[in-house]
Amino acid sequence: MCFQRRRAFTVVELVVTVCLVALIGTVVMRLFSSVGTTQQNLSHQATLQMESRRAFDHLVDQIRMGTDIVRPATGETLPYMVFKDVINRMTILYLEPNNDRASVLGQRVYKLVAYQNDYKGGYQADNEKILLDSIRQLRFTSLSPTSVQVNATVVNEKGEYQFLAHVGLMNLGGIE
Amino acid sequence: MSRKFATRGMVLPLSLLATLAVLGLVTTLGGLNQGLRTQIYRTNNHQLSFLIAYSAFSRVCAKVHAFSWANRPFLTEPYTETKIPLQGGHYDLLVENTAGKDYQADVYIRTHLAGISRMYFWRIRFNDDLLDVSNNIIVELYATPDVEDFPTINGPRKIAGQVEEMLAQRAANQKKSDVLAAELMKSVNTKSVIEKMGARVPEDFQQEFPVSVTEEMMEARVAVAPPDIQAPLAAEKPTAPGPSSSYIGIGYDSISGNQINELSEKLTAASEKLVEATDKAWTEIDQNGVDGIPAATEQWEIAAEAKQETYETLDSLIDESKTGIAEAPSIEAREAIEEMVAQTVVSSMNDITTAIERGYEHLVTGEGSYLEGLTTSAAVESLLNDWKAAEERTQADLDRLTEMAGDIQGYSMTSEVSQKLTDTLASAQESLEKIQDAVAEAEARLAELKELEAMAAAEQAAASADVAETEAAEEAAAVSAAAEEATATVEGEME
Repeated sequence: MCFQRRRAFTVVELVVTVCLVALIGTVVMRLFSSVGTTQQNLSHQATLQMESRRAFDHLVDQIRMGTDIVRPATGETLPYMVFKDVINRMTILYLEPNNDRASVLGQRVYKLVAYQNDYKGGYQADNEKILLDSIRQLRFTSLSPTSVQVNATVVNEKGEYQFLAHVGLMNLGGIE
Repeated sequence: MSRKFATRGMVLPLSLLATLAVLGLVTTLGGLNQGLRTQIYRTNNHQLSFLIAYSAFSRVCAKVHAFSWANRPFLTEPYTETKIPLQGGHYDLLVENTAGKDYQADVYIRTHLAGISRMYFWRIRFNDDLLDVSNNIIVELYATPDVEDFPTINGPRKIAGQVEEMLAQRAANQKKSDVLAAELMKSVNTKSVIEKMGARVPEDFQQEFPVSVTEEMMEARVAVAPPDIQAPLAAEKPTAPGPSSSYIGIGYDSISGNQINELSEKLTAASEKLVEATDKAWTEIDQNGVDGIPAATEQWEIAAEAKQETYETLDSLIDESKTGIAEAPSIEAREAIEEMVAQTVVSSMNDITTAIERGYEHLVTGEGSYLEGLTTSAAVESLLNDWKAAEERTQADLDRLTEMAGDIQGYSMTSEVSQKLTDTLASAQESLEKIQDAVAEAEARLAELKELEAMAAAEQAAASADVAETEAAEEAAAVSAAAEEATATVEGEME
């Protein structure tokens, strides 16, 4: 009868095994963590881009309905824009400091405000719309009496998105 | 066997974990990517739909150009196109004449792209001008109504009906918007613009944040106040006082001469002031009668000064124009100077006659009542003297205007200006005749009153003589009675 003694793990084997398990565990944990971060980043960027595009569409549609650009004058670049629409209401697009977002992002961030003056006198809260709530810079350049170039940079926690558009007014002649 | 199993036991869970992690990542990214793509797709389609509609609209414009307005495809009935493929989508089109408007058309375009329909509307006006072919079609109105508003041949035209309402609103807001726009054009900083717009003026940041260089530059930038350009309507009229400095540069102009421009502006200002002051004076008289004379006198004095300045400037302008004409580098330049000066001179001459006419309007309506209201020859004589002085002034004005007309007689001028000159002189002559007639009537009235006064004086003298005679007779009778009484007394004493 042969009694074969069962061999146990050596200390070295145990140490190596523990190290390997720890290493693999760390890698796996990091992988999950990375997936989470990547997902969050992508989510923020996607949201930023989506909101920017939606706001951009809205902005372009508004300007396109205009009949006359009041400010900026041709050749002028300004951080705001004033234009008349087909029934001669006056709309201004301008920036308002957004303190909440600025505190979060640690930089100067603005809201893009659209206000329409319909000559009822005084400030009318219903005539104000916030088109974007975290915009870093905005420029309007009037390239001709009937077109304007819009350049804006939208920001959030994970990045920024810039758009540039040349918008032509569609109501050129006015109605008679 | 057991060793192999132990090895497999390590690999399988690890592989499963790794696979799960990768799958999770791929799924998450895929979902996000899909969401983003959908958004981009939608926003792109939004813009692309507009481009499809704009392309269709451009094709309509091209057709109008190709066929001419008289032979336009929608001359007798609406022109339609259905499901025309373009840019991955398709569009429906209906074009028709605008009801009740000549040279106008309504263009309805409905686009279909990626399962979403959108509707666009243009009202266009055709400018039938062969000299301005690049501006033949003018967009009167652009709108994005609901898709349901796309009309059928005989169906309702909802958006076209709304245009009238827009027209009324536009007209109501026109003046207010022009005034506000003019104020905004003068504003040089964002805050004042926002205040004038009636919007909420934003407060500054509550904390200090770093300012980028471009932002700093933009904040420090002061908006340029554009030049205050006057409305061009006056300059386009045939009798307008010629171009102002808004149209001709401030620098020396070798063709028209800078001095001519300055004098033209000065002349226009003076002649307009003359008309304005005269009108104010007579309005004062019309409204307040005799009580308005002090205020009217002030205006007449202003008018007299303005008239004097107008004449002096007219003389200077004519002299200056002769120099400019002599030095003109070409026939065209000479004609340009002549036309401009003639136009300005005639306009100012017209202002002078307008001011004279304004004063004599009362002679037509009130001359009789003036004279009839005056009952003494002294009052009529005073009025007559004033009118004679006015007649002399008017005669002097007519002579001076005739002289000026002679000065510019040989100048090149448009038929409208030439006609205006003739009308101006005729108007001055008419005014002179009016005052001459008035003077003649005043003289007649004076003679009449003098005759009446003489008769009245004679009657009064006769009446005075009768009274004296009666008084003398009474006095003689009294004396006689006293004498008789004295005689009787003496006779009694003697007895």
